[in-house]
Amino acid sequence: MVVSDQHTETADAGEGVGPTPGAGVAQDGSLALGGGVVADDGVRPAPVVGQPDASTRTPALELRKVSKRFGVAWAVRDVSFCIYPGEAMALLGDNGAGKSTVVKMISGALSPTSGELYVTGKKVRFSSSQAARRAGIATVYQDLGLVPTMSVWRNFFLGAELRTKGRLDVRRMRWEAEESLKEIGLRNLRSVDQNVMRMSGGEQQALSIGRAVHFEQKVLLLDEPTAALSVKETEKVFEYIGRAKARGVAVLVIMHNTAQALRCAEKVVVMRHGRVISERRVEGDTSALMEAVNGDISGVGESLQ
Amino acid sequence: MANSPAGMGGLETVAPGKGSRNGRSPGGAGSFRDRTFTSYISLRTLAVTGVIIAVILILEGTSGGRLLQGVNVGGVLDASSEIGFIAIGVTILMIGGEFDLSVGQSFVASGMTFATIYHTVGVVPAIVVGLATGAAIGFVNGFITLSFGIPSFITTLGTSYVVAGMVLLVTGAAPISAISLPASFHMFGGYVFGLPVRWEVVWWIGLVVVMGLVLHKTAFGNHVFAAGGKPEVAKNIGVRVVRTKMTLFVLCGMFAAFSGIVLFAHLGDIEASAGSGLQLEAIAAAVIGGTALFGGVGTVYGGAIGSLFLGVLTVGLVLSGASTTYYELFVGIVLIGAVALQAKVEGLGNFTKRMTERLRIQRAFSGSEALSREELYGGE
Ligand SMILES: Nc1ncnc2c1ncn2[C@@H]1O[C@H](COP(=O)(O)OP(=O)(O)OP(=O)(O)O)[C@@H](O)[C@H]1O
Ligand SMILES: [Mg+2]
Repeated sequence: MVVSDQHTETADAGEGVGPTPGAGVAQDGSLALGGGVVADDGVRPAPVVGQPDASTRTPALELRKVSKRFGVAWAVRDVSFCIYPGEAMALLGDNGAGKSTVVKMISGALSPTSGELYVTGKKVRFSSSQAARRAGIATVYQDLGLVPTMSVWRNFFLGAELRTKGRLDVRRMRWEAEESLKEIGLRNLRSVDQNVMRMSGGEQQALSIGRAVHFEQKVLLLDEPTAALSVKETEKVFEYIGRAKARGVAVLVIMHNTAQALRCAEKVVVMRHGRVISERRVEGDTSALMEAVNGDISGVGESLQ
Repeated sequence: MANSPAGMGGLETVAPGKGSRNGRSPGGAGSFRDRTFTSYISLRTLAVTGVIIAVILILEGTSGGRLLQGVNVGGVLDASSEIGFIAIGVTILMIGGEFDLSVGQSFVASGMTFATIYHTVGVVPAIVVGLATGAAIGFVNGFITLSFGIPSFITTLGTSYVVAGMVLLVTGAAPISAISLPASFHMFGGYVFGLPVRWEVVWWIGLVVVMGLVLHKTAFGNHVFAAGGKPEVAKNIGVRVVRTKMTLFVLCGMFAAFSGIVLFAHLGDIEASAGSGLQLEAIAAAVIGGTALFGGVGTVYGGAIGSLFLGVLTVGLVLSGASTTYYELFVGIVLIGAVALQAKVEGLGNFTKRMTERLRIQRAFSGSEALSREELYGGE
């Protein structure tokens, strides 16, 4: 895939910027309304060791003019963005903006009406969520990712059980699950034999994220992972996401809270009425950025039309 | 989670070889206890075992000390194994989230098929045909349930009437008796080396152990628990839920068939009414042994212990000279106790929630893949 093919569609033609990647977007350019920043050479925070320069890297995930229609209504219209390995992108927007629909199209739960999806440069078309999973897309569902009646380690390896001579290698699975969960930051779990039913929401997120990292998934999708969590647990989830990024996973996270989004993501994309209306890099003055992003979400910018 | 196990070894933090660095290894004592034992036999199963021991002691008293005499222990085990074979299949099917109310009819149809043909085709081919009869009924149950999305307790209620009707049509309600009892029948009905225990009990225990290993120690078993615990998650993760459930339906029919064949080999005759009520007894055995009504939880050993309870009760009450009415009374009380315990453990709210959820999922699983997917993920 050629990076320079890519362009960002913005909601209103007047704001259409369509930046040229690799052109070295000015650092303050990211604060301008609608100033889509796609390339990130030289300004990317939290670099992944050993990663080549952004201009030569392939995004882990790229969407090009993806749309979804339900009946006569377009829930998502011409959405384009890309996420690089080790980077997190937050998708923000008001209720009904189309965020979940975007995530469901990436996870294979819905198929786009039009547009293209690329995973590490390869064009993909998912017929099911299993197909997406096979292509390296891990989705953390609030209640569709874990079997509550099964133990932590059984959930961890469900569908990818380790076997020796046809029998489950229980020891190795329990051990690997425990090590992986520690690695992702879940340290005070009582036992991997515990039922998922008895875990807190944050611990369940850790299990899902840890599993994605362990199985070397390329893209991690989270739809409002912190919506039902306490402040303390939210912090932990940020830690898990940080560790997943450190392992080179590209993260797409839907959030309602702008402040939280700015804390865990390198890039913030705002949607309104199914379209991407702004894309900003998280850097510089956070409070100004927050104001701008909140303006996009609430549609203040539209009054300028 | 599609990477092969070999691919995972690439992660340095999880490679077993690295364990020694932290002074830990997969085999070594970790920060958690090896709870292998309790992951097989839940605390509830242990509680039920306690209840059974209490019942044994009471019945030992009321029967004037005859229940624990060798020959009667053998009788208890005989009675337990007859329902026990069926309970194995019913238990694993229930763990997978489905019911089979036609096991009594699979039992009769297969036993009668075996009884009709063994002296012409030979015992072993007759066993194969008998088992195939049960498998066919199980297949029909699974096919209808899974392709139309009908709750399995309705499907199998229907097939139980159909099969019962067919059996009556073919046999004209006449019992079938053995013309001769071939020596090979001893492999089920004969005594084990002069002990008061029949070979069928050995078969039962053997099958319980084998199916216990299949359920708890194989990937298939893992998928059974996932399919019963939360099918939409299992499906999403890549478990072949429909195929797994289909296998369970077929196995359940075959275990019922096996019981029918063993009964005929043991008694030498079988009649159309021999299977009535067995479906409820098998479910009772499974539930008493800790199998959840809505799937995802249970053990084969629990089902065996539940069967043993029914066996103890049957023989103990006969020896005590009590009317069979007491049997139903006791089973009813213990069954309600077991389910009440289950609701208590799960929380009553959760219990009703899972009941409604089960019906929703059942509907979602019918029809095309695409339809169920939209229904499962479409609305938030
Ligand atoms: N399965 C569906 N059928 C019809 N319309 C749908 C479906 N799913 C979503 N929509 C519509 O598409 C639009 C976008 O929904 P979506 O769930 O993507 O929004 P969202 O940004 O995730 O909102 P929220 O913040 O409330 O989660 C909404 O108008 C919604 O009603
Ligand atoms: Mg949403």
